[in-house]
Amino acid sequence: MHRPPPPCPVVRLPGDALTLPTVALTCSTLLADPTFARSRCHLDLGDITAIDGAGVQVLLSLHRELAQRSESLELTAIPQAVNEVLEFLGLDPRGLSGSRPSTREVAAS
Amino acid sequence: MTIDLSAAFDTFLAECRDLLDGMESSLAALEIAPDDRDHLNAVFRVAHTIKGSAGMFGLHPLVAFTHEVETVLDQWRAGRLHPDRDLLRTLLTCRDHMSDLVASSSLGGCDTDPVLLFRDEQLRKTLAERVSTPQRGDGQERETRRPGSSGRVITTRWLLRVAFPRDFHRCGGNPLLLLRMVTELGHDASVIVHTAPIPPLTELQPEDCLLHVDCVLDSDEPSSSFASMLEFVDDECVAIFPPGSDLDQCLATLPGDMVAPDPDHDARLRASLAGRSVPTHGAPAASPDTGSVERQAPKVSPKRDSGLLRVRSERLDALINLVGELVVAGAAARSRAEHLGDRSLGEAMGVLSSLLEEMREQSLRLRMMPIGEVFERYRRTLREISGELGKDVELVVEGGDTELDKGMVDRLVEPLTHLVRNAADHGIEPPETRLAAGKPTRGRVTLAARHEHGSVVIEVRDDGSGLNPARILDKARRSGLVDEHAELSPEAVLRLVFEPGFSTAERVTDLSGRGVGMDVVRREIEDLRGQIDVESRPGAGTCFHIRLPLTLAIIDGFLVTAGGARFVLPLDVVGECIEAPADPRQADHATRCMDLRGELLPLIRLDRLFHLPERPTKRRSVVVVTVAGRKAGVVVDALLGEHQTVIKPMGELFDHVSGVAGSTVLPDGSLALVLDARSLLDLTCTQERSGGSRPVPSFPTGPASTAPSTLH
Repeated sequence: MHRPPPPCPVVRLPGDALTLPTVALTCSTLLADPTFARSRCHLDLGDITAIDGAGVQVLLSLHRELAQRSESLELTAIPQAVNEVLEFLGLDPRGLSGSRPSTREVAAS
Repeated sequence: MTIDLSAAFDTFLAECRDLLDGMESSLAALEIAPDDRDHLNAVFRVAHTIKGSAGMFGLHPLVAFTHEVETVLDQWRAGRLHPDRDLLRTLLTCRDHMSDLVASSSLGGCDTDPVLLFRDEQLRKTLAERVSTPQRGDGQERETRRPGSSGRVITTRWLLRVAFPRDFHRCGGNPLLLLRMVTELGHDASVIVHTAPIPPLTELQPEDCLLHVDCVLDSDEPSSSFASMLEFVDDECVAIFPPGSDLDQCLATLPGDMVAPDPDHDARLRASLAGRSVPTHGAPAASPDTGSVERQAPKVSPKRDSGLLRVRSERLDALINLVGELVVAGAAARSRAEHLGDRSLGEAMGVLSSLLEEMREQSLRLRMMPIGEVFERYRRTLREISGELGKDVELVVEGGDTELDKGMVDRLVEPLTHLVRNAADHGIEPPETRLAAGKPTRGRVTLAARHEHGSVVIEVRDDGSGLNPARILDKARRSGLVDEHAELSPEAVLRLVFEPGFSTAERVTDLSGRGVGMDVVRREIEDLRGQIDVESRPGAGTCFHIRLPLTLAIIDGFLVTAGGARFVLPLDVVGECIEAPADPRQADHATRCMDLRGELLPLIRLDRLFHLPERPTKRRSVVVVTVAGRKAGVVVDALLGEHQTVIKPMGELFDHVSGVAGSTVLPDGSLALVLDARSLLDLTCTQERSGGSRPVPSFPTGPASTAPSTLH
């Protein structure tokens, strides 16, 4: 008998910024989150209003962590501020794989 | 999409010629002011543009050589290289070499002429000696020094590899802000993040900076701008690769503790760079990595950045001709409207006429260019002659912004070159002679231009020894150019230097004066409907005056009638109109001159000049014309007013007719002759000379063509 997959847990980031002053807290919160420790998850960025290089590193690091466990990370409720930074760095928010084509590449294709 | 590559290539060649002309002018200006950033940037842009465009057509020798030149210029801009006379001379030679490479290129590539290859190698060595090779960690940015040799791929985009140091965040650095500022130095930027240095979350030290990035962009900025922007990042953590770098070397260079990225990253970086990458020898002509020619071809219009648009000259000529016809048609319509007496129609035609006038002026300006661009070329000519002859000669440019029809400017290059060379060669004395004569050792050749009475006057002056009239006359007599007993005015003696026979003899005997090829100079100037004259003072210098029409197409005219025919005088030369002397005896016999407020004014009766029937009229008018300070009165039957005139050439049959510049179609469809005021005045001079102070004799009774056409 076919069973539907269990609902994907959603992890909500603490605070409203993913920047240098907050990344340490963010990391410790994520690592302490039992949901995150067990399975693949959706990361809800809905409350995030600012992100910097340190914040991007956390997202990349989280992606790597899950990839090591053959799990995947999906960002949800991506605010404009985060999307702009990811786009500038050529990162694909679906998997943070670094394969997001630039506007130029899209135009060329 | 397909494009006509041969047309694009022709455009590329033409643009290269223009760019290299500009480069020469800027280098000449840098000789005077080595700190002039505008000219330095202009030279750099030329090299950069040519390199980029040449890459699109696979002209690898040109790309590679220009890259070397660009590197030197970049070092100069960054203040790491101090310009001196030798460097400027080298750069001028490089400019010539680039010009030769352009000339030897075709759609298939550059010619491999052994002479060019040898010079290429020599110049590269000279340039390399001027460049201090940047070393890793020595405080200078790393750049690839040479584009790859056979089989390598070189880039035409900037690549910046930055491995931010681990403590960058803690030191207050903001990598994203920095990257944004860097990308704002160019356009079409792509940032690619190295993901390899980022550990899993369980191992992350969140306050460490682990961002390693590659930034690819297009930019006209020098590498110093990028280096300056990244100055807060340790030198060893940054690698800057300008366009023209070896792609493989770019990928192999890992600044700081950057680790070799995975193949996917490399592939992505190659793709990003490949949008403009250029294969060198041995590489596929249009491999997927290098981008197809078709994709790159639209970039062959670098002028768009300089606000210039290249238009074929025949298209401009066609437009100007059409505007000319429009002006004529407009004048005809206005005339008809006035005849009808319809006020509203008259007003509408008035508006139309003013718009046509503005259109005419704007269309004529399309072909105008400042003559100073040509003048500046002679700075180099003089410097080279100075070196050869052991003289010290400087060029002074006056009125360089005077505009002249581009077609005329192009045709002026040869005669001006001749005059400038002669001035330096024969006019300016050796330093010791000048010193003995109480002159500064540095000689001066002045090129001056100005507008004067609807003409452009160009002067080539020197402060040299001047012409020696006695020796010129002696030489002319011995050559049989003038009769043994002929008495010539001092001006006429000087004009002998323009005689063909005199030139030839001069070249052989190397007389103290000049005159080498002056007949050719005069012919070229006269072909432009211009005049050349010379004045000189022994010991003080010589000045050649060249007077050229502003344009050959349309003039503001003044319409008159005489003997039942209509004539147009250029309005620029018309000073005033007065009533002709009423005395019939004077009218018949003393038309040669009249008293104009105490000044003797020579008179010319058009009806007699052109053998037209004399019409009885109550009174005649005198149109006072002035050319180059000389005045004459043109006696006419009636004044009809201003008229915009499109000059139509008379054809070769009438070339020898003096006093006529062409013809024009009047609004009613009839023809009128456009008078050449200068040659009309020459007629009065001839008569004055032959008659001394007596009243001038009557005009020639034969056909107009028998009238003398020159001053000799």
